[in-house]
Amino acid sequence: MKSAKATETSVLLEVTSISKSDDVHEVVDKIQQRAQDALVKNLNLDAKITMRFTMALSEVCQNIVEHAGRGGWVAVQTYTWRVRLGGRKVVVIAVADPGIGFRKSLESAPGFQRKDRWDDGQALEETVMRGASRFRDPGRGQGLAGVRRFVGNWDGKLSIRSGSARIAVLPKGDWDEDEPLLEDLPYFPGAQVQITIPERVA
Amino acid sequence: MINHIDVSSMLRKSVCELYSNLVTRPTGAAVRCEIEQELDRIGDRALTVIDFSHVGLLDFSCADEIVAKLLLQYVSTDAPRREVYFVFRGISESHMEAIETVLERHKLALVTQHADGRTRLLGIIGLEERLAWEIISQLGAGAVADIAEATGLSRDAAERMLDTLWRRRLLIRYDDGYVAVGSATTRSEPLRLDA
Repeated sequence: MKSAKATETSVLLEVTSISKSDDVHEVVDKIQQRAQDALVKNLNLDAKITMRFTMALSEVCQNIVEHAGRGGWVAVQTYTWRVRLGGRKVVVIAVADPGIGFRKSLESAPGFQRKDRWDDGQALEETVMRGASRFRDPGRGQGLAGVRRFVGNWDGKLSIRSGSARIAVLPKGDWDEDEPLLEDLPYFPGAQVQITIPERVA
Repeated sequence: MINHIDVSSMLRKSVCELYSNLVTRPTGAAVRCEIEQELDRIGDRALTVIDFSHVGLLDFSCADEIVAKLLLQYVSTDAPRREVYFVFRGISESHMEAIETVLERHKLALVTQHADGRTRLLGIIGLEERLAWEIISQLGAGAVADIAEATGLSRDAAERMLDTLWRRRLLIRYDDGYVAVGSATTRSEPLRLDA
């Protein structure tokens, strides 16, 4: 959540522990009351975004409950960036857990078969880009796909780090020059998810 | 008879009195179980309005549990749990993305009814089936011959089409005719399915 380039931060949701379904309900209830002002008035975003934003927050929090195997944390904050986006504001959802991570979660699926190339980067691609899930239920795996659509619709960025890799769904605009996939990073057990939505300018 | 299930009430009854958002899979599963228990009490044939009017947020997991998994039990072409037809009301724009996503994922379709009574199909349905359903919906109800004439299909093709739409629980079959699911809920007289 810290950035050398960021100033004027505003906390929408303080660092909050997530370990069960009820925690997700509480976070959703809390953020709904605060998000409308922050997103519509401060970031000039369409009113439609509030529900979508809350949905995305709910989905990434649920990933902790459903897959991490232990609790995690979520925080939501707005920043005004000095360099990137020419001083525009952004809202950031940050989620982290020290759980089993994406690769081990997929490996726990019944009948899982390791591919020729199988590593943290592949696990992230399968989950984020292709909706894979450790559950056989075809209704699973829709949450992150929905989050991906959400950030795409609002020129946002989604990045997920797990194990030794990090995948990013990059904005259509030119405000971010990140790599779509980074591998061989220092190992991080569990997962870090970050969603960034920029202010809309005329 | 037409039954009315307020999803928000089911949420408060089954999970927490204070919640108004349908988020998380355990919440969705609990609400669906409550709805199923309600359906178990209302007989072997039923037309039920599932009302989302008082629901705030609906996420993908809850849409999967409450909409898709509920429908899957009753529209199964092999062994449906019971002859239950659903009309979904109070679906807001913010609910739509999650509902359309899960319908697509499971290749399901449903009938939704707007506040003014107009009905429309959501989900995965072929163009011909959709057109036929819309024509039947305008007719309200009819025998196979009436519907064949209105749709321009041969009698055999119309019979097959009606059977498909009935199996998907988008049409109600009665005696020698069919009625579009949404039309039945706007009739002035309550429709008795057990007649």
